[in-house]
Amino acid sequence: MRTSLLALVMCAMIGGVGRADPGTWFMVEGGLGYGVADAFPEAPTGLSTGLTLGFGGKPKGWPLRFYGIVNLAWGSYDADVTSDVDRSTIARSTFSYSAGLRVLAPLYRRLRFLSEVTIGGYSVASEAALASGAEHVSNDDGSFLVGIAAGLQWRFNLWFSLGARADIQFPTGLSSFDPIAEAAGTPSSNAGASNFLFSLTATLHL
Amino acid sequence: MALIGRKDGRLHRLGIVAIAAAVTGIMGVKGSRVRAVSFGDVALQGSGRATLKVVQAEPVPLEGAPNEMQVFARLTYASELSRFDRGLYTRTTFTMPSTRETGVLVIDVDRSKGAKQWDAASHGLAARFYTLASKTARVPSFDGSPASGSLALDASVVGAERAGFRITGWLELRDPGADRIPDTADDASYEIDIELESVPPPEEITGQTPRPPHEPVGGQCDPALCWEDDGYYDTYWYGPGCGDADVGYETTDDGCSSDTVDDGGDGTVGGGDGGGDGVYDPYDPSVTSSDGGCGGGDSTDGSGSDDTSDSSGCDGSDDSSSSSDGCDGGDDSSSSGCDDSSSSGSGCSDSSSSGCSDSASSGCSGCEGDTLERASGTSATRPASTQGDAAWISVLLFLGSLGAAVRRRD
Repeated sequence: MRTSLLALVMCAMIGGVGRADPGTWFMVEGGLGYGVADAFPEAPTGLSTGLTLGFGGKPKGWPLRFYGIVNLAWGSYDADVTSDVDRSTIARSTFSYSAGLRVLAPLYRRLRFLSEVTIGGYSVASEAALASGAEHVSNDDGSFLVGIAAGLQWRFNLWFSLGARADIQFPTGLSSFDPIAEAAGTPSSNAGASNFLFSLTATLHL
Repeated sequence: MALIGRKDGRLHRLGIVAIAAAVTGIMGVKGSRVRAVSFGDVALQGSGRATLKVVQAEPVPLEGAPNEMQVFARLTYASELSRFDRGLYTRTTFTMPSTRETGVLVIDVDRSKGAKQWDAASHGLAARFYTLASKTARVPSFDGSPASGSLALDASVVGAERAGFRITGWLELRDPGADRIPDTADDASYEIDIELESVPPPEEITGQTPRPPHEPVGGQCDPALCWEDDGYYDTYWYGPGCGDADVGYETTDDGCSSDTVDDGGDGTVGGGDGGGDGVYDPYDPSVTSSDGGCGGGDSTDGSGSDDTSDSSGCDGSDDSSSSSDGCDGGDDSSSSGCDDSSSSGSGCSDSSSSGCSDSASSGCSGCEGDTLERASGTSATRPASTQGDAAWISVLLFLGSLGAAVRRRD
């Protein structure tokens, strides 16, 4: 409780002192899009969804808006893997939570540029149907997460924005040997460093 | 007043530094605490080699058709895929040369309670061998489970960074057929001789001379009788074909290796199958020793048992600190491999052809059990590396405290 009060006071100082006009302090944003999970050896693709909560505002004399944000993101990806002698399907379900800073910069009229940097955690539940489904294996993994994002928003009015954004997730601590992918015949060395998400967003400003 | 204020500030800063140092010390000690890890406890995952001899027992193939084949395939293993809490899941996929079907051998063993042997009838073994007529087939044409046979942990080792194992044995896998009733006319069965080995193998992790991978008998690959994939050789690439070695092993026979590594006693050059040009089998007691040492101190995995200048004693025997890197099976303070330092300088000089088993002064006997965890061995111990998180937190805490102590008071 004390922590919450302190946070409110601090945010009021940051966002309130310099506010030129009465406006919104909170934002809630939902996103839906397409993801390429290149951090996994088979580079699965699929649906990504996200929820962002934020608190902040525009300091006086600055064109930029600053928000402290919490991101929650879910992903559901799959890929077919064909090796010399086997054919398998790998499905990955991911969840990430992260916190950081969002900066909004006005570009033209109601168009704004968005950028974010967050850190947090990343978890993935993997399942493979090996040998065309004759065998199933599964495992879990987790990692520290660094996320960056950029996008555009059009603020229709005081309360509502629509936008598009691209995220790059860096799950820095996933196991270097991916037994699910290896069992399916894909070398772990094929894994990249990051996932790419492209999504459309709707934001409520409160 | 100002003087008192400065003194108070100085004391305050000294107090911060003292507390930070104490916390850092405590966390550092905690982070470097040594803990024991046995093969049954450690998480395993990686690639390896599966050497199989697959014999179709039932139904008996038509006359002239091959019913036996050799398989040299890449192995994938991961404890986290096991159905057991402390299990080891292994999976090998290959093409059946005779039928071009995809064969999949899955073996999952329970390592809890120090288990090192698994019978077909025991609950600690879950195995399956199935074949698929094509890549896209969803229904196996053969889907067998163990009917008899057993597997054993032939060798294992737990190092600071790596762990290795070798499991050998045989299994009869039986498919009851479409009627799902055993011992009827539509039954089918395969008998498979199995050797599953991590890469790197246990010997290499302990700094001993690694055993060359098995190769097809005769040194030539008959496509109808054997199957091999590139991953089988992994770092030991022999090039295309069967048994034509592109590289040899830079090993020296010390005459003592048979004491430290259980090779299965095939007693042949070339990894037991007769193949492998230029491959030197250090476990062949009939081969004359070249340097009379007692250990594979020339191996290259940096496991702590190498890099010793002592060419006579067992590897790592002169460096007790090396125990943290692989030659760490010993559970006493002399876990540095061969702890019989009296052997230094003599090695196995009297046993170029017979190994060291008869030589009490050779010191080689000290390697056994210290470096490899056998089926009957004790659990390996390893000094855990400094716990990364705790170490970093303590370092950050210390730096932050220093910053707080020296910052300018406003």
